[in-house]
Amino acid sequence: MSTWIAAIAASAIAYAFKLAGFAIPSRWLERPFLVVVILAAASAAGLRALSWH
Amino acid sequence: MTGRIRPAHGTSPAQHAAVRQALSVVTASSLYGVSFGALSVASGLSVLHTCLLSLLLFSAGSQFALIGILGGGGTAVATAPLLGARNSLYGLQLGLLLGARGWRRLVIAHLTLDESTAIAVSQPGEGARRVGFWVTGIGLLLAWNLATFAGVLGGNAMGDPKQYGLDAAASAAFIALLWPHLRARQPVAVAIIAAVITAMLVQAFPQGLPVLVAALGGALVTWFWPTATRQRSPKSSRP
Repeated sequence: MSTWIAAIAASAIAYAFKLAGFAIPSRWLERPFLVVVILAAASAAGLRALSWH
Repeated sequence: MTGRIRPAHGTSPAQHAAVRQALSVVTASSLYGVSFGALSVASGLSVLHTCLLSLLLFSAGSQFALIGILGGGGTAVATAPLLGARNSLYGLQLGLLLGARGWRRLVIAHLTLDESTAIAVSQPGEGARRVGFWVTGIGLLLAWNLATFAGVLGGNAMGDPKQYGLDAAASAAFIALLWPHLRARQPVAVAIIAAVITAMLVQAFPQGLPVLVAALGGALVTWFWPTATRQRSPKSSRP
């Protein structure tokens, strides 16, 4: 994979994570641990793949 | 005339304090950018690629992970940004605190980091939160990229960046920010639980996951804390 594509793709995904927080309805904050659980599960899956690269 | 005495230039003491804190954190955290620049070039990335990552990815943990993958010939680059999944949690909080609307959300999102969030949420008023966030975010964007470039240029002369302990500067800055808030039992309990969880997981799990699990532990403590308090001290309840 081209380093250019890798850098831009990683930047786009990181930005999407940041922007997602501003798109989530504020009422979700009433159940903060649900949000954390969802993010932790998604991250765990990705990080597991990361450790196997 | 009994009006309040306003500080010069329409800024409050709280805003001045926010600026001072922001600049301190920017100084401490940006030093680590030198390490990134040096390690990135040592991993085989070009100067342009290295600087592009600091400008666009702009997330230290993800940047270090990515150069590790690319330097090792790996292809799972999409997983590196997952280290920054906690930034989604920060966006939840900052969206409320800063009243982010419209196109400003696009800019605020890019500047959403550990440092800018920590400074913003630790300020006492709305004005100080805004000032703290913007000074930290913009300041770190500039300083991090300059430090990266300095690391690229001086990487070979520096040797191993870890020997300077630059990574400890950012941690020290975060502890300094956290310390004034540890005055009640609940935040102390959350801090202890989060620290214990992180310490237990940090050696066994990939970078990025311990902090999310610690956040889950902190959220659970916060969630159950009021109930536990009521059960323990029923006399304190008011009619």
